[in-house]
Amino acid sequence: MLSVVRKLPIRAGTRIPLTLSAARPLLTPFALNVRLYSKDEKKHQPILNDDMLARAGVESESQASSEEPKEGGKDDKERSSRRRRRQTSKDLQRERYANYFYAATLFGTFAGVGYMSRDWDSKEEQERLDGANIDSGFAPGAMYGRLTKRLSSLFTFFSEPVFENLLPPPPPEAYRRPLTLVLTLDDFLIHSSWDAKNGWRTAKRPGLDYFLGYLSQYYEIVIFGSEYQMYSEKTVTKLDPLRAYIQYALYREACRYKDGKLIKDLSLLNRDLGKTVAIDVNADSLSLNPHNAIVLEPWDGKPDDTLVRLIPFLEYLANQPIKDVRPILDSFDDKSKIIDEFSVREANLRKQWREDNKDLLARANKPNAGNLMASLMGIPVSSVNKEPKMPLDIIREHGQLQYENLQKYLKENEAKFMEEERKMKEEYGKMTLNKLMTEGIPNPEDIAKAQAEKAKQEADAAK
Amino acid sequence: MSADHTRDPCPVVILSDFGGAFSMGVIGGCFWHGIKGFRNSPYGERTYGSFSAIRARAPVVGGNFGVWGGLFSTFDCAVKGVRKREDAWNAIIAGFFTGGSLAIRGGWKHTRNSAISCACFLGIIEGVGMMLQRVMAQPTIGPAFPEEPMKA
Repeated sequence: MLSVVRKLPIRAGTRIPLTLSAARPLLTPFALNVRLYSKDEKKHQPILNDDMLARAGVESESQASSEEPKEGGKDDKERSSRRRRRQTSKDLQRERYANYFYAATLFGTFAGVGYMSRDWDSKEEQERLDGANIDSGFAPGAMYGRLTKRLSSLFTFFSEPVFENLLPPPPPEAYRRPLTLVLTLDDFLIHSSWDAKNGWRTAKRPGLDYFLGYLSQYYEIVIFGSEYQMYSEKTVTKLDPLRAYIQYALYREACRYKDGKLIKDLSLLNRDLGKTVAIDVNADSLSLNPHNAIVLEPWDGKPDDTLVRLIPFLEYLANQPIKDVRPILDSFDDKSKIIDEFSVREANLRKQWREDNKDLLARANKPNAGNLMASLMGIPVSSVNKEPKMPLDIIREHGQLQYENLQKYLKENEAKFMEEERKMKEEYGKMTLNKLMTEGIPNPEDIAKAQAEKAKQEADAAK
Repeated sequence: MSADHTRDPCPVVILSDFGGAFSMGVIGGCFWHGIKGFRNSPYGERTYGSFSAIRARAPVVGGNFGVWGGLFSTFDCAVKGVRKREDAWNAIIAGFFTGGSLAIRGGWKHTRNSAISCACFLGIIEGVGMMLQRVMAQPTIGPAFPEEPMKA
C-alpha cells in the first residue's frame, strides 16, 4: 500500500512551467517565487506526508531510519527532533491557536493596564476612589497610583455594602423609640452546632424572648447578622414571627469585607450614632465604631443568663435623658464585663439613694396623721404611706407592666397578625415565571406602597 | 463556623461532597450515554444499546465527577483551615489545586494550564454568584406610618 502511495506523487513544479510560459519578467517577486519552487522541482512531494502516515500507523522511511540507535549526545537531539516531527498537523494547529491566545492575553493585559492607569475621568472619580493625592499626568508614580486605585475599586465592588443607607430613615418623632439597639445574631442570640447524629441544630439563648420583648419598648431593635441573608433570614423570622420586636434585620450583604474581616459600619445605618448601641461578639466587626460597641464573649450554647442580666443596663441607658450614649459606654473600663461593672454601679447607686432618703424611709409604714386621716376617709393606707421607691425600680415596674400589656395584646391578636402575614405572602409570594420575566422581582418599595394604599382604603371604608 | 446549614462542617463535608458529585455524575452520565448509546446502536437494538452504554459508562462518569468533587472539597477545607477566612478566594484557590493535581500526570505544562483554567472557571462561578447576591439583595423598607400621629 505504501508503494502505491509513493507512486502517485504530485510534483510541485509541474504546474509552474505553465505560468512561466506567460513569461512576465517584470514581475520579479513572482519570478522569484517560481525560482524557489523550481529549485526543488526534482524532489518529489508525496501527497501523504509523514504526519498522515504516522497517524495511519505506517512508518515512513525517514522515521524508520531515525529509529536506528545513535551514539552519544546526538541521541537526545535526534529524539527531540523526532518528537517534533511526530506532532500531527492538528497539534500544530492547536499550538498555533494557543500562541495566538497567549499573544492576545499579553496584549490585553498591557492594554488593560494602560487603560486603568489613564488620567482621572473626573473630579468625582478621583474623590470616589480616594485618590486626592494622585495627580493626573504621565509620571510613572501617578500612573501606578491610579492603576492600583482603579484595580482595588474593582474588588471593593464586591466587598462594600450593597446599599448606601442600610435602613430607611427613622420613623416620625411620635413613633420613635429613644435608642437603636444593633444586635448580632450568631453566637449572641442563637448558637448553631453540628453533630453526626442530629446534623445542624440552632439554639435560642436563654431569656431571648424576654430580652427582645422587654427591650423593644425602649429600643428600635436591629439585627445585624454576620451571615448571608439566605441562611439567616428564616432564623430571624422564627425569633419574632409576629414582627413585634425586631424592627429590621441586616445581614452579611450589608457588611464591608476588608482584609479578611467583616466590618459592620454603623455610620451607614442612617441613625444618629449618639443614640445607637451595638452588641457584638467579634471586636473586628465593630472596629469602625468602637465607642458604640459592646463586645461580649461569644455564647457557646451552654445555659447562661447574660441576656437577662444585660437588661438592667440597657433599660437604664434608655431611660436617661441623654443626647449621646458613647461617653457613657466609654466610662466602663472593660466593656466585655459591662454587666458586672454596671451591677456594682447600681448597688452603689442604691446605697447612695438610701443614704439620701434616710428620713423618708424611716417614716414609711409608721402611723402618722396622714395615715389616720386616710383610714378615716376610707382610703387604703398603703397608698399614702408606703415605702418610697427608687426611680430605677419605678422604671422597672413600669417597664414590666408595659411588657405584660404588650404580651397580652400580642396574644389576643396573634391569629389576626398571622393571618395578615399569610395573606401578604400569598399576594406577593406567588410569582409566576411569566410575571418574573416580564415585570421582574417585585420591588419592596412597590410592596410598601401597595400596602399603604390598601391601609388607606380600609381606613376610608371604616369612616 | 459556616452558617449554611444545608452543608455539613468541614471534615465531614468532603464525604458528602464526594457522594453528591458521584451521584450527579451518574445521573448526568445516564442521560449522556443513554442518548449516545441509543444513537449509536442499530435499529432494533437501540434500547439494549442504550442500556448497555449506560451500564458501561455512567459509573465511570460518576467516578470522574466524584473524584473532582471530593478533591475540590478536600482542598477547600484545607484552604479554609489555613486561611481561617470565608470568602470567594477559598473556592478559587481550591479550584487551582484541584485542576493542577488532576492534571499532574500530564506534565508540568499541562498541570499549570489546567490549574489556571480551573481557577478561572471557579472565579467566574464565584463572581457571578456574588453579583447575583448583590443584585437580588433588597433594601430594607420601613413600615408605613400614618401621617398624623395618633392622639393619646
